[in-house]
Amino acid sequence: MSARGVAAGRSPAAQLWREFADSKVAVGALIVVGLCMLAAIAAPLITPQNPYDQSQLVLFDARLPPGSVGSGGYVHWLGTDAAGRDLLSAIIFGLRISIGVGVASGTIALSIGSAIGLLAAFRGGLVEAAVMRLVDLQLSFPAILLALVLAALMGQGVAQVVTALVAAQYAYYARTVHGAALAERRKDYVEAALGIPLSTRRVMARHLLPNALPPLLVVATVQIANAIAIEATLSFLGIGMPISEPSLGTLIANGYQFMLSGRYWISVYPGIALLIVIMSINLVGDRLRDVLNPRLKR
Amino acid sequence: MSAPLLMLAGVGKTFRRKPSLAERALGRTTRPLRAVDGVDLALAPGEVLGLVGESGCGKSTLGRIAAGLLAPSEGSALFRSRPVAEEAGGRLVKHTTAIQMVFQDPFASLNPRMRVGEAISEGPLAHGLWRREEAQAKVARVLRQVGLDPAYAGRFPHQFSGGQRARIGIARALAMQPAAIVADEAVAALDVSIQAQVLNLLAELRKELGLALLFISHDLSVVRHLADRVAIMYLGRIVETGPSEAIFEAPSHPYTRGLLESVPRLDRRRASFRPVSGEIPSPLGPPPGCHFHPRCPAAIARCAAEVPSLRVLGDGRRSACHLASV
Repeated sequence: MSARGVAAGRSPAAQLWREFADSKVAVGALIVVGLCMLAAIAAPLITPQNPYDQSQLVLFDARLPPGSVGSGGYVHWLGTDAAGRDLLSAIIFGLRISIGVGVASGTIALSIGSAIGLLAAFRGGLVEAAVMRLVDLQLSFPAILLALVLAALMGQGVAQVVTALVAAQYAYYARTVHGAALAERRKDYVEAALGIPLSTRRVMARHLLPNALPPLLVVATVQIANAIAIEATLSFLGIGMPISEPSLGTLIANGYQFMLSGRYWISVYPGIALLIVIMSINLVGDRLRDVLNPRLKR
Repeated sequence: MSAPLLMLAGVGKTFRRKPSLAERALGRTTRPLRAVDGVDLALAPGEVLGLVGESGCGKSTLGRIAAGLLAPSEGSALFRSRPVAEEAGGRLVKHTTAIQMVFQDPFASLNPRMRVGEAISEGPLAHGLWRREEAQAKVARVLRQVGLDPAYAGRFPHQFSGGQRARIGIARALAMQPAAIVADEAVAALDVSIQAQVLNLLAELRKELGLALLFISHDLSVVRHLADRVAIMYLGRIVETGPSEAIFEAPSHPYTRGLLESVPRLDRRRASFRPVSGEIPSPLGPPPGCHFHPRCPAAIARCAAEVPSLRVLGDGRRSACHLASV
């Protein structure tokens, strides 16, 4: 704990924000992430076109370059794709899918993973050995490999992709929580809580988990960015989101065949959008790691 | 003496390192560590019992058994003739809330993410000792009892000094309305001036609330200040117990004498002290007979062969030395 926080008497959360805000880049990244989320949530309200509604698509408008006016009478700022979709609308709706899938799979994987990790750390013995070896085994495979196999087996769709991502990523959360909980488990305050006595469940939820939160928060941000990237990869390869509900990955896949004919915008703009989202989330995650890791503090 | 509140009867605790996979494959077992070895102790209601010994003598382990944080491997720890804690299905279940513990490290023993008021009220609320709507007033009362401003309830532990945190630790224990508190080196981590304040607080609370106190310390002067009765521990065994005055004035066991002589004193300015010679032996392979004989200036042949039992001397004192005169 830094001397500043002690003197000022703030809650740990307020203290965390103050240190986080020391980096302007991180604050900028956080604002970008926030804007992307807002855009994703408000997509139907802010886009000129619903790209999933086939009846709104005019084939005559296909592959218009950025800035041209289509038959709808409005400007396609980022051009249109091969089906005549307004790319800006498609990207914002794609963001909705990508961020939605990332956050949903991240939340589910975090809940499952931390429950497993906490239980293993608290129970010890055979349960711990069995569970953590399984987690280690899974971590030795790249997440994308596992997700690929599962997605290929289950087919296209939001639920299928989220399931594949959760199965591929819960292990990271389990590992992190297990390690943090093991370290906290030995501290006096846990023994003090058990000695009152408080129930095991209560000690896990109210004492261990909040103190295992900092590393978990860092892993969660990075893993959500990873989930978005993996989903984009799956969609790009044609086993993620179906073409009727394109995510950013699907959009890139749709456009790359036109790259050589000079119609770069169909692939490049979704690609840039994906890059910005993933990079911003990672920048936020990096800053969180710097702030929360006491070893890096002066 | 009234019926004891807390009764330790033949308590022993053996720790064993888990054998590694290779050792298990070879059928080897690891050496047991007898941290506590056949200890009998009783704590009467309202009594302050000082438990003294060098680091590693097992006094903390004994304290944890008394507080129900560890189950004894042998013997039993009974609170009002019920076990304090029992092992059930590989897990420890503590049966009583009437014995609370105060820890040595005031920094590690408070959850850094829990406000002080919450930390104090969590136990009493979970056990139905307090109703939720009265919790705030009760927290304020307990904080005042330990000499802290009730407004501190909304703060986090990192906003307090070591001495204040020690008081918060005591407040957390007091909130459970205990009959006895086990204080494991409760002042060892504090500055000397703060130590005195916390010791006075403990003495006051004991007088006001009739609390019994098992006060574990390596510091004889601190124990002398507070304790009615003293138990001296060496390598897992009690070597001498008795009224505080008697033991400090006329120690009977050679180890107690050695300990007392190694304490610096203001009234007798000395350039050198006589420490107990040698190192405390490893509890993994304790010496046979009397554990103290290799370091004892008065050892005779019998000491290496025969374990001395605690014999009753005069004035309520018991000593585990073959040479102690009855």
